[in-house]
Amino acid sequence: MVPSSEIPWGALLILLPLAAAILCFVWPKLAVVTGVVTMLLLTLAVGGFAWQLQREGLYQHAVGGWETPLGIGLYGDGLSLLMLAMTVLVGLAITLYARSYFNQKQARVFWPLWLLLLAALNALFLSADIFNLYITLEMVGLAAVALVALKGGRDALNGAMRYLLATLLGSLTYLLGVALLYHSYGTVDLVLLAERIDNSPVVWAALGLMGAGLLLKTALFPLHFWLPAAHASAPAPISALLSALLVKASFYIFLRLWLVLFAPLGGDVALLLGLLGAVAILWGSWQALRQTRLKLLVAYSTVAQIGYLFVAFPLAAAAGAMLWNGVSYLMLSHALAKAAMFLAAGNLLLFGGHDRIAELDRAVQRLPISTAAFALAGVSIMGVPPSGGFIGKWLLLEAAIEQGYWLLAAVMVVGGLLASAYIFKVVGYAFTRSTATPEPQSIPMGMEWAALLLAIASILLGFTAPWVFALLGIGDPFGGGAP
Amino acid sequence: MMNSDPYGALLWIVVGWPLLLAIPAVRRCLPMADYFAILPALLLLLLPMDFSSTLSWLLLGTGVSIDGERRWILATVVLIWALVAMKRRATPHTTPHGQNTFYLLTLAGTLGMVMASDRVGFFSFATLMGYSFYGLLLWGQSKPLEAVRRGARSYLICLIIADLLLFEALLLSAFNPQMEVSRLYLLMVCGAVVLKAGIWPAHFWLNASYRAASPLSALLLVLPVVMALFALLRWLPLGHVDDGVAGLLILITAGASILYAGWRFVQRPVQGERLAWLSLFASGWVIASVGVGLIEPLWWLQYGTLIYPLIAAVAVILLMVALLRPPPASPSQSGDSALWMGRMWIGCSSLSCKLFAGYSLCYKAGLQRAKQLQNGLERRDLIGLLSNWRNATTLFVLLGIALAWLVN
Amino acid sequence: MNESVWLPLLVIASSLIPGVIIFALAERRVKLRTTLNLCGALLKMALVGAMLWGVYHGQHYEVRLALLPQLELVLRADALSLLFVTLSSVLWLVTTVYAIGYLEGSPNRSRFFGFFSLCVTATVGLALAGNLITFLIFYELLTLATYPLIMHRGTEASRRAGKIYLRYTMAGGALLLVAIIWLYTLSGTLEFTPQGFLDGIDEQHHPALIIIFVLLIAGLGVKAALVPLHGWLPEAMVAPAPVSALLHAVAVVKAGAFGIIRVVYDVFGVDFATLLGVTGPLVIVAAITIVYGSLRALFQDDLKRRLAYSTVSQVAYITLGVAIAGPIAAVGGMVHLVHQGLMKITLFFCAGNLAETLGIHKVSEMNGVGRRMPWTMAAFTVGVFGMIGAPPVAGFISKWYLGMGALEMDQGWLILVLAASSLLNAAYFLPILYAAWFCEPSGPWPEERNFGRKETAWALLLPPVVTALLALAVGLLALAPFTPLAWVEFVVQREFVP
Repeated sequence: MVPSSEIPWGALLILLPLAAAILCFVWPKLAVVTGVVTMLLLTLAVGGFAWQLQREGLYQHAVGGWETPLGIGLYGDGLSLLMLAMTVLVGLAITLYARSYFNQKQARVFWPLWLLLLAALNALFLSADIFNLYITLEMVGLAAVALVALKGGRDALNGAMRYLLATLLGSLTYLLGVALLYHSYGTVDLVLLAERIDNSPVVWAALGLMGAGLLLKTALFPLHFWLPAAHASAPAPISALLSALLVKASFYIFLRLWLVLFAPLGGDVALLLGLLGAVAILWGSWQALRQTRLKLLVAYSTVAQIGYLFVAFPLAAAAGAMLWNGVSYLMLSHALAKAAMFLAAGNLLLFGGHDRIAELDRAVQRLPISTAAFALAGVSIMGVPPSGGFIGKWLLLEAAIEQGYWLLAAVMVVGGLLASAYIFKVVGYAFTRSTATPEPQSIPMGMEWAALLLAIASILLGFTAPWVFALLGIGDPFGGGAP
Repeated sequence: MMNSDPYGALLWIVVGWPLLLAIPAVRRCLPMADYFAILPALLLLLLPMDFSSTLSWLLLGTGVSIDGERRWILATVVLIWALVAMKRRATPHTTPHGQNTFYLLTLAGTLGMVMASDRVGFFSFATLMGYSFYGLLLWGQSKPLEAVRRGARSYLICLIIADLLLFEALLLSAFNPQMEVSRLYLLMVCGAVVLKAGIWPAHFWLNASYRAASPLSALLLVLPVVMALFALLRWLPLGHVDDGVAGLLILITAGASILYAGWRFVQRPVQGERLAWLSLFASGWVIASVGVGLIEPLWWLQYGTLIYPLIAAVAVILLMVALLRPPPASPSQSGDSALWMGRMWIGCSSLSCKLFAGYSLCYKAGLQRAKQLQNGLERRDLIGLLSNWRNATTLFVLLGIALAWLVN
Repeated sequence: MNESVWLPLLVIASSLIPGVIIFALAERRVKLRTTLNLCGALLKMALVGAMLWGVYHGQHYEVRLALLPQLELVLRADALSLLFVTLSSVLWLVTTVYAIGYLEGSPNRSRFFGFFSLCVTATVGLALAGNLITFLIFYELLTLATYPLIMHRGTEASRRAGKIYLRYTMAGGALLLVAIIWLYTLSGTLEFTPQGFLDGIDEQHHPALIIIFVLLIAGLGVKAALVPLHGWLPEAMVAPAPVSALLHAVAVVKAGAFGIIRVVYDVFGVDFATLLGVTGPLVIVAAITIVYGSLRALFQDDLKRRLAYSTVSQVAYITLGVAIAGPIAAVGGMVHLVHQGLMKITLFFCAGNLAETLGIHKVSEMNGVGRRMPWTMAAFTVGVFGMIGAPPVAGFISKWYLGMGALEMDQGWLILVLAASSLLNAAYFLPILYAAWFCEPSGPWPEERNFGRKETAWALLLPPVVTALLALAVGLLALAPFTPLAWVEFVVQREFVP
């Protein structure tokens, strides 16, 4: 028996879903069972990883014993842990949801792809060099495109196509940047790059390309054009996945790069990002408010919420680690809340047969659990206490006000107000009198509870911040510059 | 002053008992609640000594007490209520059920006003009395006439404003007890009294109410006037303050009231209004003496105590006149009730004469008049008799003589 | 864990847990729901009683839970918070009884009582809040918990009301958030401290502090319905009567007023606020609100709307008392927190009874209603006289202390404001009484329900009578020990006697 401290939890996190994906592919009949079991094991593995990380500090693992710069290095710190935990939490809910959502034919495709996606995501969050990041990012993207197209039909294909183009364009641009850097400095390892990098046009070009690619994938305004259609047209669990995890994956890479490479060179770029973030908040929220379809509303809300993540950049220089803590927290709570919202929206759509907001009252009233999930998740999205979103927003606002960025602060506040407007636009239907006759509930409990549990988790995040921040501090991801 | 517990309790019972009876459920258990309600007050009247009781936890530390001056007013009040009770019992069918509550609330308020030893308590009871009296006026008729409503409405408006004035005066005096006699305070109190007692220029409500009053209301209308005049005495530190301007203002008001009332009286007004002018005339004199008291504190210190019997006398006269007044053309008035009135008249006139220390002339005159009246009553020639206003004026003059005698 | 920690938590939990369970209950489990509701309410009263006893004897109740590395969720029971907690828990019990009677047989009761309990949880939470961030958390929770209650009827009008309510309160919450964060960046703490924690701040920040004060008051003023932020309150009266009662007497409006008390006393401190010169304008705003609310009330025919405008006016008394910045006025303002609650809840209960029993919604339909429902209207009458400030009902005591306080701080003109308010109160309330008691019914009642020999159901009749008696008692026995007045004096001593 290997003592648990010596189990390579990090590697397991990648290998387990990969193996399961293959298993599912080979024996489709076992797909559901495999998926669920793998998800549970993954949860265990993340727990083990966290425990290991807490005991030993930074996690570094050279795959196959090859050291960097030659081999593939796995690297984990508090930020990785947070992302992994986020993946697992959202993944658990999506697994629970997907168990009843897909019919047999769809399930056959879904489970292998989903497990593959999980493997890729976990690998992404544990990668330490920019090339590996590219590989995993590409894997994630491709798996996602396939998932978006899963349902078939014109809408789905159209959305998948858009998504495919965006994701390919993004990763190719990113790859170009990687190539440039590799050409100049001969390494793709982040730590080594950070040591060698200097202020030259090549670096600027490379970083510009990488950044642009990632921002496209993160859908920062004005590069968000592909997101609403793709997120809204996908099946509910996939939408949840896209909005909650995938967008965060590319943001995670951007953040890593920023912390190590960009920040020293940053300057005005940070301000630009902040402004784009601010515009994204306003534009996304406004668009969300204008939507007449529920899923589009939720998708535009993602555009707005991503804006919050970028608003932090101009503030970071003076605010320090606590601000990044806030950003990470916002990311986490948005992931949970947005997944919950998409899942709940999926339930409403399934029940009502459509997602036109104005005619939603019947579905909203027959599905109190889903509606509650939507509302609770909405609370977190609005940034109203007590919720994870509130904690993140508090830290951002604190930094903005302390440094006198009044415009950004105002935008954040207005964004919160707009968010409450579009969320209550939906939730308000829960209280109108619909004339519909009572009918048997046709939504499986698991699907409703998946949404509700996620939403509750996003609320409970409001009380766990010190504890999460302590974990986040492992390996000092935001501190001295070295990841 | 003595402060002993059983007596203190009696004081509170005097006030609390009618309040308790005001609850319909309690009242239903007790026959003749009207009489029972004034029983403790009557008892108190018969106890010869002065005493007080203060409850520190009640309101802002309110107390009640009784002394010689207040006994006059208490007696008047008891008299009024006894008359009203008799009258009500005499005409049981015309009084709607709910009136009893207002009736008893007004009674409690009145008794409380008489006995309250501090201003906050006084003010509270005054409010109670004022609003329930308003209710009483309106509820007196099962279907109030438009005229009654008008009178009641004017009364209400005066009441609200007067209460406000009193409240502000109360604040002023409580805030700075040393400077309580600022001119503002004096004028606010006087203003409130002018409004509440229906003195010129606020006589309109009294006038309107009297004009539309039923026999019962005519009796009751004496009450606010007496109580308002009493309030003036309780609230003004008469004899300890020398304010010529305020005094002059009051005198002018009083003079105007007297002249106006006299002038209107002479003009042969409609039946009901005569009482109003009489009331205004009488209260004008009371106010005038207060005005003089403000200008000449020493005079007040010497003669001031007489004001209480004066008020009592005014009340008695008004009551008598009110009793004599015919009902406003209501054919349902039965002979029985007229006889009742006659008997009451005897009772009240003798009682009122006894009040004036057994002054024999008064007594005799009263008795004589009473007999005359009873004869009139038995002849069922009420209206003819009542149009003879000499009865009332004679009594008034007699009272003046009585007072002069007392002063000397 | 000793009792000083678990008691505040239990007070919160005693409504939170029943609330959450009730959400999960099926609609038909009436008995279980009623039992849960009543047990929760009684338990809370008992716990609050224990806490009152403890605080009076110098016991210290405090719970801390880290929210952020330097910020904590603090629940602390001090004298001021207990004033509000006691009010909420007592009135919650009464309102629960009323709501059970009022909603009998109507749909969505589980949802209603669930949010109802949450609403009280939030109120108690913000009363117990020991710092601004805790206050903010419960303040926003209150917004969210009240929204479904306002929308409960589900009609077009209630949707509109809900929307307007949200618009106002969310904006207010946002202002509050900004102000609190700004304050935090300047002072580094948010802990409520008697006499404030800001007087040590560098003078160069004073302009910023003034802006923060304005923001805070604006954020709180939305709920406290200070003119011009009062627009939602008259709209929100479409809610069912128990909700309106709770809203106007305990929960939302009072939360704002209570917040203003906290901000002036425990954040800025009276002396410092006076030094900054912010109390003067607040006095003016409060005075304007008092007069304006009464003026608007005068022209409303809808009974609940009239009551709502009356609330606008009456709640500003609290703000006024606080802003006058003297000890006596403070007593008046704070005691009005309780007094107004008792009186206004009575009025709303009665309005609800009229609507529920006879279908009366408008003042013009109230002719002769006193004979049909004497007990209800008697309670209403007590409430009205309290509002006018006639002794010995509770309102008189508040007005007395406010007036004395104004004189004490040389602000005699405020007496005129109070007088005008009384006059207007009389002008819009007394005609109701007149119509109810002295007019003949003009026809059959709009929608009469028969309750046999009783005028209405017990559960509907008892609450207003009880609260009316309470309103009478706290006025009549003002100087007795353990009345609101006595307690408030205990609170104010802490603020004004160093």
